[in-house]
Order: sequence, then C-alpha cells, then structure tokens
Amino acid sequence: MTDSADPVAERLDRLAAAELAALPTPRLDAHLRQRLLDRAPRARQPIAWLPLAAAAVLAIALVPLALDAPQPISLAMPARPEAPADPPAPLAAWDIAVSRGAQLRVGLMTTQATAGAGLVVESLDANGLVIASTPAGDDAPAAILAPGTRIEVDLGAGLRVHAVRLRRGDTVGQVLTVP
Amino acid sequence: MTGAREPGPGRAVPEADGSRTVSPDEPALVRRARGGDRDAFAILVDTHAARLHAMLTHFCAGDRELAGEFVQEAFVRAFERLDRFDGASAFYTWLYRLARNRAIDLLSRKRPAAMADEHIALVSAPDQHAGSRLDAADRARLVRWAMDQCSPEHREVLLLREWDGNDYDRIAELIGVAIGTVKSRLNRARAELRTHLLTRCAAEDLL
Repeated sequence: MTDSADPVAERLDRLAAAELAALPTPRLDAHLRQRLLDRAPRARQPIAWLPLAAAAVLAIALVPLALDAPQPISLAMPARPEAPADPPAPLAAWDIAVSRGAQLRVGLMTTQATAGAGLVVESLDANGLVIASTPAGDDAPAAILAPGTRIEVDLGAGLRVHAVRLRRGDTVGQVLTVP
Repeated sequence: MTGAREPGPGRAVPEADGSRTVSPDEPALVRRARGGDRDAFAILVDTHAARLHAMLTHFCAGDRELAGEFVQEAFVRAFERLDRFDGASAFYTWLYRLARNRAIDLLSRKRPAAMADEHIALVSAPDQHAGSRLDAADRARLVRWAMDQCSPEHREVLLLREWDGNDYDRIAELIGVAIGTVKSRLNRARAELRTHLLTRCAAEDLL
C-alpha cells in the first residue's frame, strides 16, 4: 500500500483506501443526460458528387473562353443599329430642277423625309456617259432630311453636260436632260 | 506488478487488456454516432457519462454542477474530433483525457466554490473530534475532506486507484504518464492525504 515502513502510515493508507472505495457512484442526472443528447452530432448531408463534378468541369472549360473573349460572352443577338424613323425615300422622291446660266446648277428638294448621305449628281454627256459625279447630300450617315429640304449643287460651267441624274450607291434615278 | 485489485463499488470489470472497452463494437458505435446516428450516440452517453460524471464529481470536491460542465464539454469536444478517434484506445480513455485536462487546468488555479455540505461542516469545526475515537460516518467525512485538500494531481491518482479500481497500467494510460510516474505520484498522494488527516485528528482516534 505504501513504500513507508511506518505501520501507522500503512494503516492510515488502508483506511483511506477503504473510505475512497466506498464513495458512491451517483446515477447520471436526467437533466445532464438530456443536455448531452441534445449535443448529438447531426447527420451529415450526402454530397452530390455528380452535379458537383459536372459544375467543376464546366467551370474549367469556360475559364479559357472567358480569358480570350474580347468582350463578355452573351448568348443574345447583337442589337441592330437604330433604324431611321422613316426609310430613305427612293431617288424619284426628289424634285430636281436644273438651270443653266453662267453656272450649271441642280436644285434638289425632298418631298418626304429621306437620308442625304451618299447622294450624288452624275453629269452625262451627249452619249449618255458619266463625265462627272458631284456629291449632293450630307455625308452624315444618320442624317435624315426633313421634307422640303433644299440642296443646291453647282456643276461649274458644265459645257459638255447634256443630262444629269441622281445616284445613291447602286441606285440610279431617272435621267433629266439639261435645257 | 501492475497493482491489480478487485473492482470497487463504482467500477466496471476491466477487460482483459486492461481497457474499459464496454463493447468490442465500440469503434463501430463511434462511427455510427459520427455519421449522425443518435441511437449510437445515446449508447455512448449511457455507457460512459455516469462513470465520468461520478469521477469528476469526487474530483471536484462534490461539485456536481462543475463536474457536469466538464462532462458536457468533454463529450462535445470528443464528437467535434471524432475523425481523430481511431479506436486504438477505449473511447472512455479519450473522453477522460479531454475532461481531466480541462478540470486539472481549472482546479489548479481555483478550488471549487461549492463544497458538499458535510465537508463544510467538518472543516468549520475541525477540533470537535480531538481526543475521541471517530465513528464510521465521521471517519468517512474526514477522509473526504482530506482528499479535497490534496492537489488535483494527487486527488486524481487516488481516485483512479482507490475508487475507480484501475491498475497502474490503466492509470498511466488515462493520465498519459509512465507507470513509474504513477507509482511515485501515488506514494506522494498518500503522504499528502495522511498529512491532511493528521492535521485534524490524531492517528489513534482514526485507527
């Protein structure tokens, strides 16, 4: 019981050992037991590995595309340029007047709203060949000319000019003979 | 010599390997509890909590509330770290170490505020027994009082040995020291206990 050779110490040790062994073992309090059970670990939710893996693969695949793309990727169709309120009127919509004086002049007047950009006056010789092309309209592509807008085109001396016509791109208007 | 002895009244019979493994399926129980099986958790609580609480109550000078806090904290910490439990030692050993580390840390700095009533009565009138032989009840109270005066480390080994009935190997495992340390600590603990007893009563009145 003890390393001491003292018999009194040995007897005291035996007495203490007996008293300690007789200490009670109380039952667990119901309250404490319930508190412990309340702290039970919760069931872990199973991990949905398949959707997780698919999402990871998709994310990895999209990273290079996102890095190379000059603009953010969008599945939407590119927006079309804002269209004019009214489509450009055909060249025949222009009223054309030609006067020959010291200078050969072509007077243009719109009968409806139309674009002035790209509009040219072609000068034709007696054989119907184009000998000059003079810009008439404004180069501003979005400019819409209101009805009644007048444009004056100076063709210079115009001695060889036999007739004139309007042209916008591939569209050619009627030929108007110079008086 | 491992100090084998008969189990005391509050003890379970040790397994052949000296451990207190209640069931050979205890690692499986722990795995089930870790997975959220509340029945498995309840079995572990019912198997170990009462013994741990009783041990800590004696260790805390009869303060059952304080002991209950240590028990609860030990269970919570144990289940937070269940991934580290490999079943190599008994689950109780793991629980006990978690609880005793906290208890010794606290009790080394502060004595339990609440002592059992019979302890207070004895301490308040220590000389009333002088010159007369103690009866059994007074002797029991005096020993318990003397136990509570011992250092936490000495109180622990005395309880593990005399009340919980562990041999030296098992005590070494529970408190994480060598067997030689257990033996020397027990000798010092008994000497301290005797010293406290004899400050309140003559040896001849006790024996």
